[in-house]
Amino acid sequence: MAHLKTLRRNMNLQEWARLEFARIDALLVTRRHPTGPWQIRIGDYHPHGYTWESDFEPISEGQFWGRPDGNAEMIGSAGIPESMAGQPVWLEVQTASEVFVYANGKLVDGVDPNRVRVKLTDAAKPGFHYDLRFEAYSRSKFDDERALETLHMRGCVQHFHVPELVTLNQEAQALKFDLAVLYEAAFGTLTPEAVKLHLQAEIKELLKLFPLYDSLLDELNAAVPRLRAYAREHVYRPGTSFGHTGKLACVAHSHLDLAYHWKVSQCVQKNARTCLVQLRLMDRYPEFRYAHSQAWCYEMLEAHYPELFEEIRKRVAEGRWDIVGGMYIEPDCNLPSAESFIRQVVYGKLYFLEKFGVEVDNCWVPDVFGNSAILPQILKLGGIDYFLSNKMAAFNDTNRFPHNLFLWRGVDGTEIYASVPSTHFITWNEPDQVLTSWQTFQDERISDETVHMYGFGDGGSGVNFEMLEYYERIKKLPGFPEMRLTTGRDYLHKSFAQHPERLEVWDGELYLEMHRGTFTTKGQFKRENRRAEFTAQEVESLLTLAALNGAPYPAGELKSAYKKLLVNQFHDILPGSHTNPVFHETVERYREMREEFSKLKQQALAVLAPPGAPDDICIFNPFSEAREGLAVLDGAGAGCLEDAKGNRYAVQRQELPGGGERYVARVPAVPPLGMRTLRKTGAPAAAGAAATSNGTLENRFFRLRFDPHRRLVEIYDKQRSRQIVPQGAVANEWQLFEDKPGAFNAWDILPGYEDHPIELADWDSIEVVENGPLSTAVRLRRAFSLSRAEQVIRLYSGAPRIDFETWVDWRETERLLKVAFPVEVLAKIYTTDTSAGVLERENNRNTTWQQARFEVCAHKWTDLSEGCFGVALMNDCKYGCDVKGNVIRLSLLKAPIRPDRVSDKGEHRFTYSLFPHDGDWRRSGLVEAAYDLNWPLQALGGRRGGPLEGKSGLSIDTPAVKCMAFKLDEKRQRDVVVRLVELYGSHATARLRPGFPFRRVEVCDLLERQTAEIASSRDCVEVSFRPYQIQTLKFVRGEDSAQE
Amino acid sequence: MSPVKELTESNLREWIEQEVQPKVRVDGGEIQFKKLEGGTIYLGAFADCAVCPAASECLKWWLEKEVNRTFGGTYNIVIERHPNYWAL
Repeated sequence: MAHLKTLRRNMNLQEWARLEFARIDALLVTRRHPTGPWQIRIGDYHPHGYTWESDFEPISEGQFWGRPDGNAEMIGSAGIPESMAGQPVWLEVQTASEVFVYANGKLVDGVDPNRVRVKLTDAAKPGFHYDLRFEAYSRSKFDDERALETLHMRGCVQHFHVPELVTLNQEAQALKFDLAVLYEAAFGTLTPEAVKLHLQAEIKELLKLFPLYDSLLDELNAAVPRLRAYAREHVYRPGTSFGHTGKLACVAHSHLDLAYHWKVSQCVQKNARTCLVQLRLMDRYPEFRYAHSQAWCYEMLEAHYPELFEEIRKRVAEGRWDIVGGMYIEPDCNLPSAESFIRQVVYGKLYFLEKFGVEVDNCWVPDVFGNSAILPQILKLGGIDYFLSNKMAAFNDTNRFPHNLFLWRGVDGTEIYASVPSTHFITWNEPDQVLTSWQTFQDERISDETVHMYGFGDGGSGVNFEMLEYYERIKKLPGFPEMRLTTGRDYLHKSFAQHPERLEVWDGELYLEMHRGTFTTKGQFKRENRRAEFTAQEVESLLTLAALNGAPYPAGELKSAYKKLLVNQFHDILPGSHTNPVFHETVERYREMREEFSKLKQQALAVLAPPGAPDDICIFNPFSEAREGLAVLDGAGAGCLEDAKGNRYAVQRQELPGGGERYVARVPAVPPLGMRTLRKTGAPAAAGAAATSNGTLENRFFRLRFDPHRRLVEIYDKQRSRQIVPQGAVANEWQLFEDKPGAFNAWDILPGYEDHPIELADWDSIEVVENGPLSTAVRLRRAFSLSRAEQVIRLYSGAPRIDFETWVDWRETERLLKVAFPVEVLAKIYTTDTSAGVLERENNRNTTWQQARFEVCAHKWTDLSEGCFGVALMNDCKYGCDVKGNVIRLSLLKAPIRPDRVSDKGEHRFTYSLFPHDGDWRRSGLVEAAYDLNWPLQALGGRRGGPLEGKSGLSIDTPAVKCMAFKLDEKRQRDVVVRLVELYGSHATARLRPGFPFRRVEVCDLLERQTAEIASSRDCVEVSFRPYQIQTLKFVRGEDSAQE
Repeated sequence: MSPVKELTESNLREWIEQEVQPKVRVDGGEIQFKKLEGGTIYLGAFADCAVCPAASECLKWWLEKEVNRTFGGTYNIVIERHPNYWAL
C-alpha cells in the first residue's frame, strides 16, 4: 500500500477538492422506494399514434428493451410510502432513451440522458397511488450528455432500471452546485489567473469546513449548512475587487434538427418532449426565458399535442417563451432558390402572426452551412430585421470570421443587422463556456454585451435545471461576465441599438469554410429540389390562371405540397447530412409532393387546356415573356407539328442516356403565361441540319472533335471563329478523387482532395445516336471503378449550347467526381448564379480567404468571361463548383459513408451544358438559356388551349425582369400577387401587362401587406427596379384592400 | 407473430436487409451477414455499429430476440466488429 500512501500525501488542491466535493453525492437522495411492477411493449411512433409489434410484457431490473429507432410504452405503478409523508417526491428514471412521463393520465415531464428526475408532488400523501406510463424513444445519437448515471447506458438498445420514488436533500443538492461551479471555475482553463488564485484560496477554506474524510454521513450532513453559508458569503458574493468582465445575454434554446439521426416523423415527438421540459422549467424558475424556432414545430404541437401548444401560447403572451426565426423551418441557406426562401418566410411568419399574434423580426439559423447573399433582401422584405447564424465563427477551418455584430449586405445592397455569435450554439453553462462566449467576442465597441446560447441540441432536449443552477452561481462569481437570462429577440434588439453607427459591413455571402460537400452530397435530392422549385411555380401559376377563369383556388392543397418542399430543404435533409432512414423518408415525401403538385396541375389544366382531339398538342409557357424553341412532349411524337396557318414544326426523338427516349419539338412563340395549340401531322420531319462523322460532331454553331481515346479535345465556336478548348487540353474531363474527409464525411470536402486523384479509364465507346432536324448527338459509355456511366453529348440546331446529358450508376465509396472544362478565357473574376442575382468571385488563390473558397455554391450556372467573350457552364441540378484559372469545374457526385453508409449509391441523372457567348453574361442570353435547360416548355398531348389560347396571363417587356411567382393573395385568394426579380444586375424599368382586369396595384412586402401604391393605367403598370431587386406587386381586383 | 421462415442463409440475408438494416442505419450503423454455422449466426458490425460500445451486448440481445421471433428456435449470434468500416 506504500504507493497509495505516497499518492495521498502528494494530492494537490484540485485532487483534494474533487475527492471531498464528491462526498456530497451520498447526501442527495434521502429515501428511495421502488415502483412496479412494470410492463413494456415495443413499436413505432407515428404522429397520429403508435403501431405495436408486441403486447405488454413484464420487464424487470437489468433487462434490455427496445431496438434501434424503436419506441416503447411502459406502464407501472407507484405508491407513496409512509416514510415520504409530507415531502416533495420525485420519480427517478435512469435511462438513455427519451421519455414522456405520464402520472395518473397527466403528462408530467420528460426524462432523457440529461434529466433523470421528475417531480410528482410537493407534499406526498402516504398510500397515494400513481399509475405511471412512459412513452420512450430509443436513441443512440448523443447530444453532449453529461449525466454520469446514463452515459454508460447509451446505445440503440436500452437497459431497464426500475424507476424509484425518491426524496431529496435540497440543501445538499444546492451545495453540490455551489461546489461544482466553484471547482470548475477555480480549475478552468479560461479563468483569469488572479481569479483562479482567489477561488482556489476559497476552496482551501471550504475544505477546512468539511468533516474528516472518513466521517459518518450524519457528520457530513451536519456540515452542509456551514458549507453553504461559506459559499454564499465568500464565493458567490458581489463586491470583490475583481468585479465583472463583460456582459452576457444568456439565451436558452434547443437546437432541433427536423431530421438527422432520426426521421422527421420522430421529430414530432422530440419537439413535443423538448417543449414539455422547457415548460416545466418555467414553472420552477420564474426568471427562465426560452427561445424556440421553426413554425413547423409549432404546427406539429398544435396538431398532435394541443395541450402543450396552449400552454406555450400563454407563455408567449407572458413574454417568457420567445418565438425566434421567422421561417417555416431552419432551411439550408445555400441551395434553395429565392422563392423557396421567400416561402419559408411567408409560411413561417404568417403562422406565427395567426396563432400567436407575434411578428417575428429575426431569422434564426444557428446551424446552417453558410448563408446565401440573397438572404438580406428577402429577410428585409419579409419584415425581418435581424439575422443570427453561428457556424462561420465556430467552424471556419481557415480564417477567423472578423465580426460578431455587423451589417450584412446582400447581393442587391440590402443591409440587415447580423449576429454571428463567437461560440457554438450548444453549450450547457459551464464556467469555461461562459468565459469563452465573452473572451472570443470581437465587437465590444458596438455592444457591451454578447450572446451566450445555452441548451442541449441537435435532437432537441434544451435546457435542464442544472444549467439554470449553474447560471445562478456563475453570474455571482468574481471576474466572470455579468449575466442575464433573456430572449433571442431582446438580445438582438439591445445589441444593435447601442452603437449602430459603428457597425462594419460584410458584403456578400456568409461563406462557411467547412462543409463544402453539402453542395453535392445526396445528388438525388439536389435534383428533386431543383425540379420541384420550378414545378411549384408552374403549378401555382396554372392554378392562378384557372382561378382567374372561374375555377376554385385550392390554396390549402397548394400550401400542403409547397410545405413538403420546404421541409425537405431542412439543413440536414437537402444538404445530405443524415442517416439512411431519413433518406428513404425524404424520398417518400418528395413522391407525395410530386403527386400533390401533379393533381393540382391536372385540376388547373382541366379548365385551361381541356381535352381536345388526339392530335392536339397544347403548349403552356410558364414564363412572363413570350418563348419559343424546344418543347418536351409528354408522349410519343412523330412527323411534325402544324399550326393553324399550316406552318410546320419538326418533332424529333431524343436518346436518353441510361435508357429511354423522349420527343421534342421546335415550337413557335407561345405568349407569356399563355397557351398555344398545335396539331400533330404525319408529315416527315425535315432533314438533319447537322453532321456527325469520324470523331466529330458538328452543327452550325460548333464543331466538336474527339481524339482516338474519345476525349473531347476541340470545341470550335463557328460564330466567333475561335477555339474554346486550349491547345492540348481536354474538355468534359471527368476527374475522380479520393474523398475521405473523416468524421464529417457527408459534409466536407477537404482542401487537399486534389492530391489524391484516381485515374479514370477512357470512355470506351462512342456512337452517333441522333442526327435530326433539332439535335445531333453522340453517346459515350464508360465503366470506371465499380460504376458505369453513359453520356449523350448533344448539339441543337436552334440553340448555341452543348448539352452533356448524363446517367451514372454510381457505386463508389468515399470518392468525389468532378467534370472540368478548360476554356480559352482570361478572367480575374468568375460569376455564379444565386437564383436572384449573381456573386462575382475572385479568380485567384492569393489570400487565405480565396484559398478557403476552393469549392463554392452556384445555382443554374457559373460563368467565366473576358472582354468580348465568355463561357458559362450551366446545370440542371448541381450546386458545387470551382474555378481555378481558366478551368471551370462542376462537382457531379460524392460518395460519403457517414452518417449514411450507402449515401448516393445508385442511379443519377443530370445535365450540364456549355454556353459560349459574346460579351459578358448579362447580354448574352445566358440567364434565359439556363432557364431553358432547367424548365423547358412542355407540350401536352390531347389537349387544346382553352381561355388562354393565344393570350397572355401576364407579360413583362424587359428580359432583365423575371417572374418568380404568379399567385393569388394568401389572405383571401382574390387579388393577384406577382413577384418579380431583376436578374441582369442593372437598374431597369419594366412594363407589366396583366391579362386580367384589376383596379389598382400595390407594392407589398412578402407577407403581401401594402408598402406603397404604384400608378397604373387600365392595362399596364410600369415598375422600376434596382439591380437584383425583388418586388412583390398585388393587383387588387375587387373591393379596396388597403382599408382592411 | 408466429415464426414463419426457415432459417437459411438466404432468408437470413433477406431478413437483415429488410428488417435489421433500416433500423440500425438510423444510428449510422450497418450489420451484414457473414455465415451460419450450426446454431451460431455470425454477423459483421460495420460503420457506427463497429465502434459502438453497446454493440456486443445490446445489439446481440436484440438480434437474438428477433431471430427467435422471426425464425423460431434459439440461436447464438456472434458479432464481429470491423472498425475500419471504410473498407466494407
